[in-house]
Amino acid sequence: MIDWGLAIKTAIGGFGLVFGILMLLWVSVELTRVVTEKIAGNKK
Amino acid sequence: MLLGLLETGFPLFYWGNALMIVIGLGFIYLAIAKKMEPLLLVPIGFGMILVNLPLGGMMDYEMTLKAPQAGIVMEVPMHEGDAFEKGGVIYKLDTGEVTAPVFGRVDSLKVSQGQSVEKGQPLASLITMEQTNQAEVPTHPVGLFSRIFKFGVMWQILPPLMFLCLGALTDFGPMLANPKTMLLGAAAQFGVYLAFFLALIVGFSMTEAASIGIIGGAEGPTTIYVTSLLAPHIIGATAVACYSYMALVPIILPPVIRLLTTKEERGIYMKPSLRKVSKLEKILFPLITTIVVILIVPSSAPLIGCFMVGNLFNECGVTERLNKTAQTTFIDIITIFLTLAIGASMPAQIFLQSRTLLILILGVISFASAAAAGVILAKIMNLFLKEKINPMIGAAGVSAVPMSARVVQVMGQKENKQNFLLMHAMGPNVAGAIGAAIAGGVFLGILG
Amino acid sequence: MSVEISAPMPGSIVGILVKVGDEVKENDELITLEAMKMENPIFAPSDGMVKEIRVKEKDSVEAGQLLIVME
Repeated sequence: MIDWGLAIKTAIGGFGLVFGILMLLWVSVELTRVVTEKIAGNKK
Repeated sequence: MLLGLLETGFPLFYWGNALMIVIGLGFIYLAIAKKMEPLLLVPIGFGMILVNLPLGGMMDYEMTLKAPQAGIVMEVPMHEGDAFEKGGVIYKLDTGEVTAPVFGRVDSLKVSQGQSVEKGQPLASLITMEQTNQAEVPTHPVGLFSRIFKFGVMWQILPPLMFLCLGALTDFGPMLANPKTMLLGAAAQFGVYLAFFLALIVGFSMTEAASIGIIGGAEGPTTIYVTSLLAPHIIGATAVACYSYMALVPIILPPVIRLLTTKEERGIYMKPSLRKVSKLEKILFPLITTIVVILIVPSSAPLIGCFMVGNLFNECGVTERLNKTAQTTFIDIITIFLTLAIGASMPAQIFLQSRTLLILILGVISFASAAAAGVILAKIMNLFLKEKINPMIGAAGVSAVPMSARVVQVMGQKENKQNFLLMHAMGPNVAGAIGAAIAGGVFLGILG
Repeated sequence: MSVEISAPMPGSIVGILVKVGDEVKENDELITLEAMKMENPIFAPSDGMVKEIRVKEKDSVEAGQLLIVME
């Protein structure tokens, strides 16, 4: 028998994680940009 | 069945094999005449043909049939060389029948009528082409492709290595220049979960449903990787669904996009110039991503780790030899192994089942709903953005790199000839590949 | 008044369909730019005459690089 509770947890948890992680990567990309621009800026 | 000295394949050849050979020839025709994904369809098609020629043995696995209980052999309905269906009776004991857990043919019979057998005693050696759950039905490969399949695919070596090569070929630049497009790549994974639920509803098991859902990630290696771990018996169907729909993206995506967008929205102009991304950012991205993603979803390590190390080869500037090999020779080698093995995982007895048709239908739903989710999120984002994005780039979240981005470019230029969406669409496109790998990792973490 | 047409994305020039002095109409194809293994036509943004062509076939170009000047 299908454990629908597990199925729903898998789907919502999975989709949530995909979103969460990509948002986290978005933030880290922005942070990287700010930091690297600062480093590059200091060199000038 | 022996015909004199030479055993031919004819006695075991049936209409299903003929049909699969026709499909395999069709793949090769499409590749040669229509130039459709020739690097995939030629070897897959050829593998399909090879494995449907009986007794070729390319995809054979050997297994030992053991007595499920003690008893006396009353009848032996099979002869050596005979073919049987899954569940076919191999022996009749006084205590019950001994049936085959797979389809296949009898290699050798080890006991005869009147003999008494112990529980667990080997009764026969059987040959099958089925991918079995090794914990329940242990088999060992005895053919060329079954060996490649077992040690390449089932041991999860080839799909991650394929990901490494794809990483080397991927430029995250457009995504790093406009990182909000990463959300579109995440949204498109909706297709994975919709198909997962639909598959459960139509009666697939949890692990099968996850493998079917992941087709919508539109990532060949991810699909193969997840299926090989969760539901190896349907790997031929999910792999073929994934690769064929990737090739059919130019046909699947446009109607979905048109349904969800107005002409004006499709004509939204996006400035061609993306921010220039520095080399340092491009080097840091694979490193940071590896650490962040694998800490959160450890089971995605083989896919994400390989994807990112390949990308680092490409971006770091000091591993040009490795990068070049990954992008050219190595990806070709992996492609040859992987595609032949995938083609060979489709003997008629396994592929020609109603569930294959269901998987193909669910796969296309998965692709279409993934594109729809991307477009819808892009439209929602536009409610908040000052500089509007063209909602079509959301559809490129269906990774199928770079096919879906190309589709968006072509459709965009149809509305406005000055509009170049290709680079904008590459952001969600490569983010979709990361999203699919994460989704696969989560499935493995929970269900594996 | 001159109009500058620059590359919308990095790629390589696979075809130049006009020559200096040609009169072109808005949305005529001027150049084919290959990017991401895909041929992308670049169209004239307005009517005019081709004054200068700054690239030749097989050149690889950066995003934003000047391709054609029109008058």
